[in-house]
Amino acid sequence: MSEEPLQIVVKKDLKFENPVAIEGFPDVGLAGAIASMHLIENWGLEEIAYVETPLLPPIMVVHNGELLNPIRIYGNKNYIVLTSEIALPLTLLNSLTKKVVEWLSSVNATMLIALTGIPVENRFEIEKPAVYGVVSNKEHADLLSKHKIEVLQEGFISGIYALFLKECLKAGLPAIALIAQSFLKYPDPGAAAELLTSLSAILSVSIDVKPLLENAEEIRLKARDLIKQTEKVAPSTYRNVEGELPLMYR
Amino acid sequence: MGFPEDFDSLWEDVEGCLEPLVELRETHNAFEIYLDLPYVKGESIEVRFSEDALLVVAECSKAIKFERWGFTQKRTESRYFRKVIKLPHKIDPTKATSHFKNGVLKIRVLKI
Repeated sequence: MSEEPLQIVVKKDLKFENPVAIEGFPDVGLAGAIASMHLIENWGLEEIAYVETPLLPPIMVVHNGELLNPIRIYGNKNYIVLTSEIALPLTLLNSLTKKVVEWLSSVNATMLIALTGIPVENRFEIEKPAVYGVVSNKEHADLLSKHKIEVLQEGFISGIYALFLKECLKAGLPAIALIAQSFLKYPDPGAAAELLTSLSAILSVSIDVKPLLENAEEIRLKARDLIKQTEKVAPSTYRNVEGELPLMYR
Repeated sequence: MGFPEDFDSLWEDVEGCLEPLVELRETHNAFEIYLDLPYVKGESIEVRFSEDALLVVAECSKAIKFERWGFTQKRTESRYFRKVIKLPHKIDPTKATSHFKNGVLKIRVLKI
């Protein structure tokens, strides 16, 4: 094994067919993480790789008695889904996003879609969270508009998804971020469900969100520790910049 | 009623209670407190006030026990959420309002 601080360790070599990658790492409301974990289960994806790095705290996960690494990559020949069961420290994000995008380019991924939430003060009053989009190229703006997803025209974005878009821009890998209105401090399965509904429309693929909504209370209970960890290692204050306007207008 | 200190772990078993996730917001004249209460129905929530704190106790609609989980959770059966929220300012409990929607409790209380 090489001396690089972060590596993607492949467990299963799949014959990908121009796969689409979807990332749902823990962030605001865990909307992306809940959505990605639901996708993995709903599509029956198997673990194909994991992230190895000494930059992580000394944590392993146990599922069904099996030891697993906390940052894992699942997939089939058409889709790759990335998720994590622990909060990601800010110091890890640059190397993680860079290495992941390098790997996605090496397996000829055609696009990366980042799933995340944006905290809104009045989420308590909102029955159906809206989903917004950020695109790395203008061609995808039309795709989102066609599905009535408002595309951000001016503003800041921050978080792991912002870094993914940045790395994809550098690598020439098309990328979209889908961002749902969500709670800041609570796991938000409702926001996750809206992300998946939008994803389903964009990819023209079926995603059954009914089990997610039926299990919302259990998800909210099980995700409490993760959202507390996420708030500790990546305080939401850095997301405040998303409410600000950039100085330049062109 | 004495209001005990908060504890860090959300899974500490205090008389079969879980600690809910809480968000506190402050405006110039009021506090808004939001509590995430999965498995709770509105009628089972009780809120009590002191001059600068509130106690929320909510009974779950079913006992919460995750038998396949880690070492702590496996031994615990929880039936309530319980939380003391200390406020940095005195409040007027007679002007408090609350709404419970989609498993989230919102309490608004005016400062004195």
